[in-house]
Amino acid sequence: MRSRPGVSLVESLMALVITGLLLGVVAGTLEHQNGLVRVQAQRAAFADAVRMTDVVLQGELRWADPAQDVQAVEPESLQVRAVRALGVVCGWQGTATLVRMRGIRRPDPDKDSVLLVPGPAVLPLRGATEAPGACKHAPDEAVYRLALDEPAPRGALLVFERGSYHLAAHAFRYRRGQAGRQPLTEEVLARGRFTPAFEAGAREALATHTESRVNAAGLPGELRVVFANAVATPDTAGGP
Amino acid sequence: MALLITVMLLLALSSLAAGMLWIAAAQNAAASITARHARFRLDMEAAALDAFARWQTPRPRHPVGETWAVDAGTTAESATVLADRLTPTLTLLRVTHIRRTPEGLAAVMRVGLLVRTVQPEELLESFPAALTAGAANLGDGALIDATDPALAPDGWYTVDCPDAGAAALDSLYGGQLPGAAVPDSASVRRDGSSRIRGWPPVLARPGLVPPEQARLGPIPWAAIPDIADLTVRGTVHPAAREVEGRCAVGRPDNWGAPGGVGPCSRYAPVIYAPSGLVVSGGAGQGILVVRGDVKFENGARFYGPVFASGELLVNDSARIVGAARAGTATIRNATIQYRVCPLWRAWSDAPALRRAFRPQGRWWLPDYVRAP
Repeated sequence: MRSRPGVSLVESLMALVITGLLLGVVAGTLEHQNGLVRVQAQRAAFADAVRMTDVVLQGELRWADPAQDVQAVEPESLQVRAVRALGVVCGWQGTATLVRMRGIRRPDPDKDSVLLVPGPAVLPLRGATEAPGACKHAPDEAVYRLALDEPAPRGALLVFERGSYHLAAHAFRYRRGQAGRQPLTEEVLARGRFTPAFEAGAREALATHTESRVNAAGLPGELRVVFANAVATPDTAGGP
Repeated sequence: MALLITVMLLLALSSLAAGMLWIAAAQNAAASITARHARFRLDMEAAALDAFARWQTPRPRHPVGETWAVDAGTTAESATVLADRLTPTLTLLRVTHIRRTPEGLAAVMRVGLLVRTVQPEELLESFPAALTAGAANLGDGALIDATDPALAPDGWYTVDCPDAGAAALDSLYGGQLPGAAVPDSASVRRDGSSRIRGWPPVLARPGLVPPEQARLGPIPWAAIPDIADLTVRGTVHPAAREVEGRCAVGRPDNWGAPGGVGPCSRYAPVIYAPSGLVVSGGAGQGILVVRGDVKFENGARFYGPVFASGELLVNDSARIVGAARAGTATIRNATIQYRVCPLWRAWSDAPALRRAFRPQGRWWLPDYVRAP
């Protein structure tokens, strides 16, 4: 009697077991790879947050006067004078001060104050209107008529808003005045900390150093921002 | 079936690997941009400091409110520096740094740097009399003279004395100065034929501080060693020194040619002596600052301000034309004559004071690329 072609039950079971094992290995590999990609993506988001924090704070604090502009440093918050425009006094109209100005936004009496340079006088900004042609100015400057409590003397002035940066609720955030804390990064920080290490009386530019640490699982962890005086500039100590 | 599973597996793994590669590449690009940004900013700051270090104009010819281009040096070839004169003593350097990429893109960044210049008017206040001292001992033949302070010194051309000096003197002191300023009138001892001329001859200034606590204009005493053009020790016989028709600037015994017309006539260095000094004849001009005692003898002549922390001894027909300030002073058979012209010339021409200084307080200012 000829045997008919086909598979026996044992063979079928063996095939099923092998297939199952193979699928298990495949699923495991895929899961592992997927986990790696997820960790990599989280690390990338964390690195982006670190870079963003560094760039924003460098832009805000690099040329700040630590004694005047960094007003309070807490582990999770940093209160600063956030400069938004630089102006040079170019004349007066009655009690208003004419200023030729460059900046990242228009001066806004609802938000801004004015710091006179040489200072350290700070005046609230009562009003600001454009005054084209009121002073000679460069093509990339605009002339504004500023209403201050008193006319500003010859010199420069900085238009600034009071704001605070926060390392809280898993993100780097900015808060202007009493408004809410707006996130500037994704919410990927386990925790953050500001550490001042600058000499308040020094006049070097400020360097912010942002350190990041991942946790034992290799996932995003702590962000630590250290402020320090930048490398000393050429010695001109003892000047007037 | 197995082949299908294998292909699917390979596809899945490849997609995951490609995803990770893409993330890594994006991170690498972001890190590279961050590094270039930092380098860009440092280059710009270096250009600002270069312009600051190269500053060589004591009194900008530009009036307050004017803007002019400044030499940006070689640190950053793509940097331009404009100066805004804000006040008589403060100027804002505004650096614009442009970087172009091979792809034709350009990035622009700006920063401002405040610099302080020293004006002769500020220095005039440090010398309120022909002789300012804690105590003065005037022997035979001593003459302290503050009459006609605006006149040119004997032998000097009137055209070499700018009207601005006399105008500043007039504005600050009403054109009249005391011969000697001391803490109280009893601090002056006079013998024999000594004379003090001025209005008044002796002025009591109870609050007079010792030279080491005083300032040379806006510059504190402690800063003078750092900025001095010459450092001298021991005994010096100064005279104008020339090499191949040029003034030998930097030689410790070359103190310029007072009242002369040669190449050293406008050389008036800030001279610092860290441990006392003897000027044994000769002639010179500039700003002489001595830690300790200074002695002028053998007919030595000095034109400009003399600032000594210890005793000022002027003997043997020696002559100071300008003004002197010291801890104590002993003058015998010698003259100290107030003349604003050599003071003004020294303060205007001293290389050490032609530089820019850091102002007090804030000196970096953020600047922006467009109108708000």
